[in-house]
Amino acid sequence: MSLLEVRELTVGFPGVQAVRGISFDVPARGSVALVGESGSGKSVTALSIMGLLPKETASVRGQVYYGDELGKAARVRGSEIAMIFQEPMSSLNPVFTVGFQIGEVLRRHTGLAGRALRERVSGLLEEVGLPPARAGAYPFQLSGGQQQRVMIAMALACEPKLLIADEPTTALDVTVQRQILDLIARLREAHEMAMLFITHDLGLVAEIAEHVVVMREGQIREQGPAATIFGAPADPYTRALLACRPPLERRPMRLPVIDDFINQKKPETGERSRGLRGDEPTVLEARGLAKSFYFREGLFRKREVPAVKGATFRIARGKTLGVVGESGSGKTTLAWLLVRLHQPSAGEVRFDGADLLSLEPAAAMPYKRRIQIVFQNPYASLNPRFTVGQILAEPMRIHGIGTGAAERRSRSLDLLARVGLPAESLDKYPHEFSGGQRQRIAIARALTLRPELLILDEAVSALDVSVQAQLLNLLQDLQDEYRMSYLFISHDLAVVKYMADEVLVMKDGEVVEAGASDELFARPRHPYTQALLAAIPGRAQ
Amino acid sequence: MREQGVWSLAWSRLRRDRVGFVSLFVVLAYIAVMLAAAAGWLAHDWTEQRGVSYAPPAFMGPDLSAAAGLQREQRGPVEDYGIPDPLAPDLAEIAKGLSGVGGNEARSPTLAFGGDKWGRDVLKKTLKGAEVSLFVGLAAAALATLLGTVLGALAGFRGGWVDDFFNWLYSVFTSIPYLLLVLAVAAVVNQKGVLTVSLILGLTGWTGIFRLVRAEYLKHKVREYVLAADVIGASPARRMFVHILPNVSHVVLVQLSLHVVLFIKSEVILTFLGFGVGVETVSWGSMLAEAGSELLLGKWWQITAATAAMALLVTAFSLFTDAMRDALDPRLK
Repeated sequence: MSLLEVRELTVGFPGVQAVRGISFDVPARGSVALVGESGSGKSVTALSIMGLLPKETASVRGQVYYGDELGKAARVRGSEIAMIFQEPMSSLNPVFTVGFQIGEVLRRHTGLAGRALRERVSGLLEEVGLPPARAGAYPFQLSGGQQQRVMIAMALACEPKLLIADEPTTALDVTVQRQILDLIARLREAHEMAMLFITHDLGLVAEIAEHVVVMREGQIREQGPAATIFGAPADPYTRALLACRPPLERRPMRLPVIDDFINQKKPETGERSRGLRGDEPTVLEARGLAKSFYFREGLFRKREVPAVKGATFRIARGKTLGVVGESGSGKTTLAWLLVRLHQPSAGEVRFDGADLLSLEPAAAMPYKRRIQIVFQNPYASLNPRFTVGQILAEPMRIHGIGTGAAERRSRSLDLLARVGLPAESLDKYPHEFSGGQRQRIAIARALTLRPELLILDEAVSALDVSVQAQLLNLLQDLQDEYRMSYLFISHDLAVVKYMADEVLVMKDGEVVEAGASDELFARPRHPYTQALLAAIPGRAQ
Repeated sequence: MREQGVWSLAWSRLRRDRVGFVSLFVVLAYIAVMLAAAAGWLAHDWTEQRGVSYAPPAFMGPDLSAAAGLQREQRGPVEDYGIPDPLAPDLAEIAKGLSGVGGNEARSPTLAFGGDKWGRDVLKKTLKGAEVSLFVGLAAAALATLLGTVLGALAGFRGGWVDDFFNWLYSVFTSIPYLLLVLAVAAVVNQKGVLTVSLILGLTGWTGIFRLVRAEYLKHKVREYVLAADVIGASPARRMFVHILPNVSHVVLVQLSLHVVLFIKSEVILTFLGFGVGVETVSWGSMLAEAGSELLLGKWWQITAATAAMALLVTAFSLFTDAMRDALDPRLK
């Protein structure tokens, strides 16, 4: 018997049709994954099941049966159906302790009070793996993973029969994600809960779901048992989603993209080999690079927080140095040191014979041209008041490249074509582009200066997997064409494995392991690297 | 096809806001009056004494009691027990000389919206007063916004001792009660005139804008698009004014129009207190200053005209500011 039945669900907002007539079931004690990229309508589906969509703007049609009763799902939300969200920090109220917030759910739905309430809260915290003493903590005193545990404890408070989890681990580091997934699986077993798991990551789905629903643009492309979807996907879109994640075992010359599958193009065979031969010239060499931040504590004391502790590495011409690590490991600080956005506390960076970090701002100008960076957030890194033409012309004007506006314009047009954007883009503003297109513009801006070293700081992390594959292909083509070196920073080990010749593993500001990409991934020596690799979803089994 | 820019999007949003759009027209009409008055096309003859003293508005008809009073006065000398006033001919001569050619005979008993003590047309005074009040409002707001924006940009972007210094200056200015500060500067400058009033208001009124602009710069200078500009080699000045300023311009513009309203009111208060524009110019403030004693005599038209003109402008400007804030708020990602 199905616990939840969704029939011909259609959700429209003014101007867009978010969900177009989808039907699926969640069996009692079963787990179903709703998979899709951004804009596929998966979160809207979950919200409309819970009856949480704004009534003024959303028009919902279709039926949602919960335990064979129409419309009951929205009535029993919070008690029989619980939901956890992507951002635990913004889902918790910052001015109340987590114990109070868990207790509030219990008071409202079970009427517990006093000692019994406190004991139940302690029990719940223990169940999600937090010491009961943490009940007195405020949300900001907890890490992201601990916050998500609190959210799960709140969801469990009323012993729900169905748990809806909307990207519960997307904001978390990979090792924390692993812990949360294990926790959810264990609790589901113990409480005999059904689960609707919403995610963009097919790797996660393989581990957590028995049944998979693949959505794209508000429609279901394919649904079936997980084994069938992963073993023999019928829909080209599903096949493309599975294929465009960089595989860990091999390294194809090009990553397949969705269009290849829709157009039934033959995938390219052939593997790219990575690593250094040993005779490549060095572009940049860092020795003992360190950066500490200082916070005032009390009246006179200062607390030192080291962000990068003595990093030493070299980057070879035309090759890629990957940097992996979890949030707070110092990856971004390292990148910012190299482009002089931070002043280093110690160490030196040799670039073409000069110590980059000791140069005066004026003397550093010629070097700025040769080291460029692409930031993570494509929505923040382009000036919203500049047209794409202005964005691309500015670096050329500053560095005196090209003789006039006309020549710069034609160079900009060439670069736009090179990164795969139409010529009309030149007169548009950034807000008219999607995330992937904006990242292409950011890459084109860096390329206007023909840098020798391009730093990619989580440059593809905010993008959907299919868009990510296109950009990784583009970056690879550009490297082959211009012989650029990359410093490729990412928390995503599969992407780093695919792109990098050499890899640095960072933890708490320290480089804990460094080596050739293939060697490091095959035989990790440091326990942290081993933990990172073991935590990659879809790889543990 | 050329895509819509940020400004044209803002313009189309403003046009959809009916209240805001009407307010814009009212404000533009006032500015037209200001320019016409400055060019001398309008109300250039406001000093002429066209009507009788306190001539009532035309729709009320001539003031009969005043006329009767006048007749009583004329009868006066006859009833002075036969002793003629030895100075009467001289006084009549002086009165004739003072009141211009026509004397009372040429003066009209009523004026369009009444007259003041000297028989000047209140309507013309209001129009001419609009020139002064609006000019002071606009000029002072422009000065204050310029100061606040430049200092706020420097303080927020540079940080360090620059920030400390301007924050200290800000604290000094804001720790003195506003009106007291204005009056103190006015007393020191001790020179009446439109430009002086604009300067006083502009030099004392930049603090609020400074605080907001500084906060915006603190927020924006660590945004990735500014960092990206740093990496491509854009100078600090370029990052401050070419990259960040257009992105905070909505704050600056809204503050500018808020301060126009504030300074129009401040000019009125200053002039009312006697620190504003001189006697040879007319502003709504000087009209209100005269109105106090008039009201005792029941002559309500001057205060009504000045207040109505000011209320309409201030309301329209405020509504326009609100509409502009909605239109300019860049919810573009």
